[in-house]
Amino acid sequence: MTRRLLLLITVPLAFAENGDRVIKAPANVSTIAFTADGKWIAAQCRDEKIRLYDPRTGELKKTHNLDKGDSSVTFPLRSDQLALIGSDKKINVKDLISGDVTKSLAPAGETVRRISLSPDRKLIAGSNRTGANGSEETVRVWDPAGKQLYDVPAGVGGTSVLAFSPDGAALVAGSYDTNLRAWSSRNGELLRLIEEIPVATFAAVFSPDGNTLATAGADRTVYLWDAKTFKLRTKLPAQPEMISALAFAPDGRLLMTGGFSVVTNRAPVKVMIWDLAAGKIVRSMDAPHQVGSVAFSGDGTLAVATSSDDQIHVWSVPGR
Amino acid sequence: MKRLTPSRREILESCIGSGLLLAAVPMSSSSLFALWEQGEMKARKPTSTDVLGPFFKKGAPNQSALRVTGDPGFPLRVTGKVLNTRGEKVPGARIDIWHADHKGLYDLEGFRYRSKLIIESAADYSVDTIMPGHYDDRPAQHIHYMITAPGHRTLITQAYFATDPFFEGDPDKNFKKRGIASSRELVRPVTLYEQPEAPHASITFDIILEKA
Repeated sequence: MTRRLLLLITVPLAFAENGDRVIKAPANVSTIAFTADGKWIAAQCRDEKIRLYDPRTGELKKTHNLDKGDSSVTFPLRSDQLALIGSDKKINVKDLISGDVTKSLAPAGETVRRISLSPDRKLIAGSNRTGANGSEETVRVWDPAGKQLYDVPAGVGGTSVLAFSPDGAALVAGSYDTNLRAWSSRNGELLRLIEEIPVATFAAVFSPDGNTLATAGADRTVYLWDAKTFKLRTKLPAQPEMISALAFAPDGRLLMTGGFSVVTNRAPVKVMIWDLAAGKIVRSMDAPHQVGSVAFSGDGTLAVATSSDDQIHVWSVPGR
Repeated sequence: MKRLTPSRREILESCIGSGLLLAAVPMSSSSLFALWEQGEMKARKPTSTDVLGPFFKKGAPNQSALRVTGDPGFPLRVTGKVLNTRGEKVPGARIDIWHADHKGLYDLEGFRYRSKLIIESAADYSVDTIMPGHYDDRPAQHIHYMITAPGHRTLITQAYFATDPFFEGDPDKNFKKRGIASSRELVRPVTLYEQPEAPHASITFDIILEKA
């Protein structure tokens, strides 16, 4: 009995010491990001709320209400703003700290499923289901005034991921037909059609310096691309499950991957941190359920992931 | 050099010119032609679309035998034709077909239960496989299709099974359950055949493509 009591006391202390903790949210957390100062976790929860947590204490700092029907929330990197498709079908930009809608932009329409806001917030991209048979996809791009600048064909079957480069010059979309496309954000010129991945890509992120694009998906492999030519540089094939989420550390040296199981979203999965220069995994963590989103804190010392059992996992990053 | 076989348009125009195709109410021959064309085009409704899903894999071999001896799972034969909205055969189609194994797992490493069928002039297809298993995210058994053909819109759809317990024995009532099957027509009746060695289930699933 004494030994069991001792264990109960020592385990939480050990977790507190190395910075690892689990924050239990009141609802499923679909997307996370850090606020611009890198201190708080912003969590989009499926009960139509955005919750801000202190990752070091787990304390809930703020809660903002979303409207019923708000969807497709996107957090631009290192920004206190998020974009979402409002229940009014407009693209709304909301301030994470105040919770206020600061801009209400182009009407997205019923057919826009996924949006992305350029880091300089000068462009908004939306994936758009079109065609008489509903299978063909376009990506539309608007300016902040809501004027559509162009639309480009984006394959068939739907857009799995949509991302702007840090300087806003390139826009990348993955299609469920397994192709990736990179366009010039300025005019929609196709820079490269990437056809060499046999399965769908579920996550795509640019490195903070804009030189590398990381993509990953159903084949459990991270692909690292030159973000100017969009030619493949290297592959990191080590995740035991399909990869649903990616994040670069602020210094660009580490890449975090989060997985999901083909069997069920309730199967345990790995979250891994790669040292890209060494090509090695520096930490491998367990998440009890499918990982929806991963992020590094602004100072790069914390790695955070959501799992589909309403949990936010906070881990320390080795050597930071 | 003049073609030996007149085109459909030439035949129709000839019929209008010779009084073999008449308008019930007065109208110009061009309107009559257009109306006939419109009627023909809508003779068959294009197959309803459904989602592509996250597990499509490109590069599958052209194979009609997806089931191999000893495979667990209920043997299934899927047959059908590729037609246009006039009911004419569409030769030269490519049908990507894929589904989960009996446990509900997709093969993402290889091409188990995946094929890219090349459809010749007969415009019909047949695959021998197994009944797909159930899985959490889409708990109705289904087979994925992506069909391309020259001059036609790419069609992405799925076939479901009326016998699936998911539809609770009443697909007319339950096909919309959990928003999975996009249309009642995609839930196919199942015929059971007795073979010398083992029984097998069969569905027919005709593909009606729209012109591009």
